[in-house]
Order: sequence, then C-alpha cells, then structure tokens
Amino acid sequence: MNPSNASHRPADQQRRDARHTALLCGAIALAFFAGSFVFLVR
Amino acid sequence: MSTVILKGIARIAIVFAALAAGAARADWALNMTEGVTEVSASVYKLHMQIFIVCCVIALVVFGAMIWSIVRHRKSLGVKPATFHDSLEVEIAWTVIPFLILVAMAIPSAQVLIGMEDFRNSQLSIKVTGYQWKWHYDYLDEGVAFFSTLDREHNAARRLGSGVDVTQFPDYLLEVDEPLVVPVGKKIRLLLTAQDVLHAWWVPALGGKKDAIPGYVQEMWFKVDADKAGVYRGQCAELCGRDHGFMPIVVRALPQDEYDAWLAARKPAVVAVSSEPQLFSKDELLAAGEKHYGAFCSACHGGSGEGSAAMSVKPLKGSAIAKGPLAAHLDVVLNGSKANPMMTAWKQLSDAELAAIVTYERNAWGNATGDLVQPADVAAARGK
Amino acid sequence: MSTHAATHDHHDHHGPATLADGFGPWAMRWLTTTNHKDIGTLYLVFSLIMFFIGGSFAMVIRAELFQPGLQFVDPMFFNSMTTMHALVMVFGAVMPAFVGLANWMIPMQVGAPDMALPRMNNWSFWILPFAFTLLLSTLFMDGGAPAGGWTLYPPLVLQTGAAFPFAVFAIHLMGLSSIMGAINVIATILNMRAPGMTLLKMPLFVWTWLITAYLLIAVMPVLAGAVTMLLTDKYFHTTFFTAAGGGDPVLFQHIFWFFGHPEVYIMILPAFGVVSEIIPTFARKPLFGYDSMVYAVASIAFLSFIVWAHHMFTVGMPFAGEVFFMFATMLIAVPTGVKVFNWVATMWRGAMTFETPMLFALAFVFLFTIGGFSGLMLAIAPADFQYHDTYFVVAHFHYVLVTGSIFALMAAAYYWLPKWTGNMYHETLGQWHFWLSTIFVNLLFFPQHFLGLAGMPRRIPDYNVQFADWNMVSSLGGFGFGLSQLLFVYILVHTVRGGTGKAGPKPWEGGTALEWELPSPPPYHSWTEPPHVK
Repeated sequence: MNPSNASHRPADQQRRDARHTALLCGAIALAFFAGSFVFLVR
Repeated sequence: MSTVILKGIARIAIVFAALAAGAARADWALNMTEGVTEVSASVYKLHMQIFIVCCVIALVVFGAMIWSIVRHRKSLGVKPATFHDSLEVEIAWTVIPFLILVAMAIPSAQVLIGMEDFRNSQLSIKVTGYQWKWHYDYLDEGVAFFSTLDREHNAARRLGSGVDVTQFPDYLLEVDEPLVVPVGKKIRLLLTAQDVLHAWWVPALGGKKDAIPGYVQEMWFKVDADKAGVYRGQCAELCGRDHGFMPIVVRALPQDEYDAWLAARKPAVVAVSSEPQLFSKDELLAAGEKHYGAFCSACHGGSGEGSAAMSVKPLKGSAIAKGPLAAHLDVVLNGSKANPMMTAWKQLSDAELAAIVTYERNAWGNATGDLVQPADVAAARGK
Repeated sequence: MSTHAATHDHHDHHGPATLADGFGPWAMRWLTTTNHKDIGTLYLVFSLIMFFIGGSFAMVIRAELFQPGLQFVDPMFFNSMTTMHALVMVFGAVMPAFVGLANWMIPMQVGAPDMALPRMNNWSFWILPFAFTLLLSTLFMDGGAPAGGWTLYPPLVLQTGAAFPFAVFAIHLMGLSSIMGAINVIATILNMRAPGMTLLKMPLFVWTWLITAYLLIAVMPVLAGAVTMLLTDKYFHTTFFTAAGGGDPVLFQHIFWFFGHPEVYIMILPAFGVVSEIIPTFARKPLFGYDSMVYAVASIAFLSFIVWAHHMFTVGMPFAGEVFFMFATMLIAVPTGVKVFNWVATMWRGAMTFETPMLFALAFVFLFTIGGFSGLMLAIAPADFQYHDTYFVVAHFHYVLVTGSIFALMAAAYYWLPKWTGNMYHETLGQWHFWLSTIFVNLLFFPQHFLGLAGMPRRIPDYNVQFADWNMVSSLGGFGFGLSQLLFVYILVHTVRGGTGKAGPKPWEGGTALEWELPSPPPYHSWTEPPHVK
C-alpha cells in the first residue's frame, strides 16, 4: 500500500484504486454470507 | 406512588442489617450463595476467586486513576510530561495479566471436568420443557407428571388482578407438584423440550442446561446428604409469553422419605389409565373448568374472551368451539397449522382433554350440548 | 444516487441550501447529499432519535419491573419491548452514531476531501429510516412486534406473527447499510490519506474504525445468512433449525453468535478510538503506547472471531468446546487490559483539565473496566452456568454498552461539537448532564449485578418479592437516566443555535489531530488540497 497518496497519484487512478478496494471488500462480505450457509455441509 | 417511594427509601435504610444476615433469599441480597451441592460450592468458590482478582486489579487501576486525577492537574500548575511509550512496561502489563488468567483457568477447567462427568448416576429423570410448564418422568418408575405454577400465584400475577403479590413468600416460585429427589444420590436429568428452547435452573443446585426440542441432553446434581429441603428455580431461556411463570421446585428428601413418596405416588398414575371411562356432563364440566383454567386460560382468557395483546380470538362463540367436533379435537390435539402459537396438547390424558373440550363447547353460552368422552379423544389421536 | 455533483456551483455563494433558501431546496440537499459532513450529521441526528425511541421501550420495561406483580403491560408486549429495545439501540442508535462519527471525522483526520464513495455513502444512510419504519411498524401488526429477544432464537422466533418477514427484511436493510458504510471506510482510509500520513501516523480513532470496518464486512453478511435461514424455515419448508427435519436449533445460535460477538466489538472499538483521542488532548500529553494500542485493537478484533460460544455455555457443547471458548474468552482480557493501562499511563503526569468530554472519557475508562470485570467473571464457564440468562449478564453488557459505547459517543459529541457547529456548548450544563447521567446510570445498572447473583432470570416481566428492592432502585435509576438525556438534547440544540460563543479552530489547547487545523465549522469541502503531514 503506498503510504503517501493524494498528490502522488492522479485523481482517476485514485478513484480506480478506491473502487478496487470497495469491490474486494464486497467480495469478502459475499464470501462470509455464502460461508454462513456452508456450515450445513457436514 | 410517593408512599411506595418512601417505603423504598425506608428499605434502603435497612440495607446494612440485611447484609449482615446474608440469608439466601433475603431482600437486598448481594451475592450468590454456596448452595446445597458440592458442585454449587465449588462454583461459588470460583466465583469468589475471580471476583477477588477483579477487585485487586480494580484497586490498582482505579487507585492510579484517582491519584492522577487529583495530582496531575493543570490547575495545580503541573507541566505535562512528554513520555509516550515504554516497551518494558507494555511487556510487563501483558505478561502479568496473562499469568493471572492461567492461574484462574486451571481451577475453572477442573470444576468443569467434574460437572461434565455423568457416570455412576443413581436415578434418571426425564425433564421436558413445555410452553409454559415442566414435565417430569421418573424413567423406570412409571411416575410422570406436569409441574405448573401454583394456581393462586397464577391468578395473582395477571395484569390488573388487584391481588397484593407480596403476601406470597414464594411468589412465582411455587408449583402444584414439585420434583422430588433423594439427598445424597447422584440424580441424572435428561433434558429436552416439546416446543421451543427452555432451560432448567435451580441456583442452589449449581448447574443450568438448555432444554432443546428434538434433542436430549444430560445434567446431574447430588444434594448433600444433610441438606434436605425445598429448592426453587426458574426457566432460564426465553420461551414466549409466560417464560417468567414456569418455575421449578425441587424437594430433596432423606432416602427413606423419598422411597415412601415414590411408593405412594405410583398408583395414582396407574389408576387413571386402566379402565375406559364414561363421565357425566357435570363431571366433565367441573373437571374441564379446572383443567381449562390450568392449561388454556393463559392465552384464551378466564372466560374464553381471548387476548387482544396476543391476537387470540375468543373461544366464546367461536366457530371452532361450536362447529364440528372433529376439527375442534384436531386443533387441541395437534396444534394449529394457521397459528403456531397454539401448540399441540396431545400430551394431556384422554380424560383431561375430554373434559377441556366438553367445557369449551358448553361454557360461556357456547351450549352445543356436546359431551366428549375419553374414548372419543383416544379415537381422534389416531387420525 | 443522483448526479448532483455540480449542483452547488449553480447556487449563490453561500454554500449548501439552508431553510432560508426554501423548503424544497433544503429537503433536496438533505435527501441527495453526498457530502461526508452532511451524511455524518444525518446519521447522528437519526441515532439520537432512535436512542430516545429505544430508551422509551426501556422505560416501559423499568416501569413494569418497578414493583413485583404485573401493573402495566401484558407479558407478550413486555417481551416485545425487550426485543425492540435491543434491536433499536444496537442497530439504530449505537451503530449509526459511530458511523456518523466516522463520516464526519475520518476524511478530516486523514486529510481527504470526502469519503471514497460519496454516492454509496448517501444510500448507506437513507436505507436506515426506511428499515426502522419497517421494524417499528411491526408494533402495530397482528400478533405484535417480534418478542423472541433481539437474539431471534428459533424455534421461538418462528412463532412470531405477521411481523416476522418485516423484521427480517429490516435487518437485511440495516446489514446492507452497515456493509456499504464499512466498505466506504476501508476504501477511504487505504486510498485517500494525505501525503506523509503512514498508517502508523493515523489518529487512533481512524485505526479503530479501519479495524471495525473489516469486522463489519465479515460478520454482517453472516447475520444476513442466519435470518434468511429463519425466513426459509418459516415460509419455504426448510428445516435448518428443526430437529424433525434433520436440523438443529443450536446451529442458529452458532451462526448468530459468530456475528454477535464481533458485533459487540464493532460497537466498542470506535469508542476506544474516541477515548484515545480525548484523553491525550485533555492531559496535554501524547497517547501512551500508540503502537501497542494499534496491536491491541487488532488482537481484540482477531480474538473476537473465536470466542462466540461463550454466549452458549449452557447449550450442551462437548467439553473440548467449552474449555476452548472459555480460554479464548479469558484471553481477550489481556489486550483490553493493555488498552486501559495505556489510557491511565497517558493521564499519568499529564496536566489535566476536566471539561465535559474528558469527564465522559474518564467515566468511560472507569465504568467500562467494571463491565470488563463482570465479563471476565462470565468467561469462567462453570461460574457462567449460574450467571447465564440472569440479570448479571444484563448488568455486564449494559456497563460496556451504556457507560462504555454511549458515554464515548457523548464524549465525542461534546468534543467535536465546537468543530462541527463553530460554537461552544454550555460547559456548566454539560457538567450537569454528565453528573446526572453518571449517578443515575450506576443506580440503574449496578444493582442488576446483585439481582443476577441472587437468582433473577432475564426477560421476565414479574418476579419474586426477594428481588423487589434492587429492582426498585434500578427503575428509579432508569427514570432518572432517561430524563437526564433531555438535558443533552437541550444542550445540542442550544449549541447549534449559537451556544455560548464562537469556538475557533482549536477550542481544546491539547488537540493535535488534523481536524483542529481546519476552521470551525469547517468548509463544506475541506482538504481540497491535501495537507502535508510530517
């Protein structure tokens, strides 16, 4: 993770990075949702 | 209201005398008690140990805080220090608490091991939680009965009953028939439930376990030989409207008295189930009123008026109580598919159900003239 | 939502629409805002309203429990009150309030102009009033509001009437709101810090929110799974939680508490962050052990995933399970203790003043620690058999949630109100609010420890006379605590309307984080040029 952000990345790159972070988090959320059902597979 | 508050303040003034008394169920009680079993005494000891540990840590931490609040104030002209970390200190106050925890974990695990040892029990009783009563079945003895909240208490606790409940010393902790056990013997309970989760808990005995529908689990207790007496508890898992009104009473007797009780209790069960019975209308209605009051009135109302709070329509004038008998019997025996809150009542005897249904079909102006006999109920069970 | 990005450019030069611009423009501003400050305000105002609604349910409970006997409500309605009190407080008051603080403060504290995903931010908020309208409307439905406890255990919860699908849908919506909010927090913190602000230079409040956000995206979906299974069990003939169909009611408890335990840390970690901002400011001394504090929060969050079954010690788990969960639960005391010690070390040899934020922060340390002690006692599984489902547990979690989370929220409100509004709140009134709240909250909850130890179970509307005395004290404390919060509302409104005068950029001389470099109130868009952090 680049510790120094704002002025060293162009705005659209920063926006893209933020979207990628958000999608990754959404994937994590979905994985946990699916996982709560997988409990049933014994 | 103000006299109530004044009485409350007067009671607060009596606190310290009551503290000295320290009786198990005194007003203003502060602590759990040692109970009447070895397990309850070990649990009490663990409780006091962890409590003391917490008190000591509290003294140190709060002491430091109070000192700091008093001395390290800008108003005293203090200049703030600038230190802001110390690896040694962080390690110290990580390791020392960890060691204290290990010291607590060992006796805790030992007590748990003891509580999970179900071997060598001397009496097994099946305990079933219902909405809202307990059922006890002395396996192999042929003794089984329901244990419900005492009728007087049940009436007193109703909203707007006008009864002063403080007149009952064991208010909400008394039942029509307690669980009777011998002292000095390891009693194994097989816990289950009929409908929803319940939990069986008598503080003086020192254990608590959930009663889970469809599953049976074990719990045991052994009352100290010199601690014969009556011990009271309550359901400890929210189970619906009357969760607070299904107490547990355990009567622990010396062995010989227990044997006498058991011998006397047995025939009562046998007699009821042997002969086919035909009751008169008066007998059915009298018994029906009694059983309806015990089992049905909580939701259906003392006079069949239903309950707006629970969306229960009145039985008085109802289509089911005045309509076809088969449908009425089906709902009472098997519960309502439309409304799951009306559970099955097939666990009651044929005689009890016959009386209840007869009563419902004839009381409060329903006047169908129908008489339901135990044989009719038995026949309906098959369907 | 809508692409109103350029709307404010068409305005006159007095910023976002106020009531003076007409009701229409004002309403549209608040409905469609993508501004983190506006959205923060929306969350905070919403949570305050929910706090009073949830509080009124608690007043019904305490009124009924004031004396033995049933005086006011049917037991079924009482159960609805306990259920709804918890659902509203947890999902409507505490969580949205912390999200409100996150929205207001994170961009300002990391030097970012706004949150990473401003339009999703708007939707995260506006889902909530809709969700709570759904939930609260169940009070008026056939069969009443859900009455099986906020923990929603089957089979009991499946006896809920018409309210059931609405409650499930409301919970799904609340979960969506939290997940989207958490995604926003993570994306903002990881991508939009100003140059020079490495992760280990961020204010601790930002750290606690980063970690809380990860907990949220992991466990809110699990709650969604659990309530979905309840829904299908009731309406679509599945038998996840019915033994007759091969299922198990205890499975629900495992899934629920896998969510539920991290959930309580979700409600406390931001509080730790708030207190870690306030104490250094008023002690005029840096936070002691910053790195340890970060590692402690991370350890607590990690451990929070492996302790859930301590809520289920009486369910009949195998011995190995009981002992594992007992040990893991006891272990959480270590990093939590480290945090308490670090706060005290921050105070030590500082030069403290005791304005209202500091009063609430210090009360937090004191009283949350008491809650922590009862938590440690509850961790001892064989002892827990005596405490479980009694008022001892109720006392524990109210100490950590009320004198913990809620006091931290109040501390934060007093601390940052001057920044948000540009006005100083009335300090004497603030101190009155603090002392009244602290005295009454202890009268309300401390006696509940005694009630639990004496044998009083939870979730009962009536009780044996041996419990009458402490119940009366507790109810009096409850009424007093509730009334004292009206003073808080007065102070808030008074401050918004001008307070006792202008606050200036740095009302607290010991403040060191980036927000104190901005004017009070800060401009609608702040840090449009990122600051340089040394």
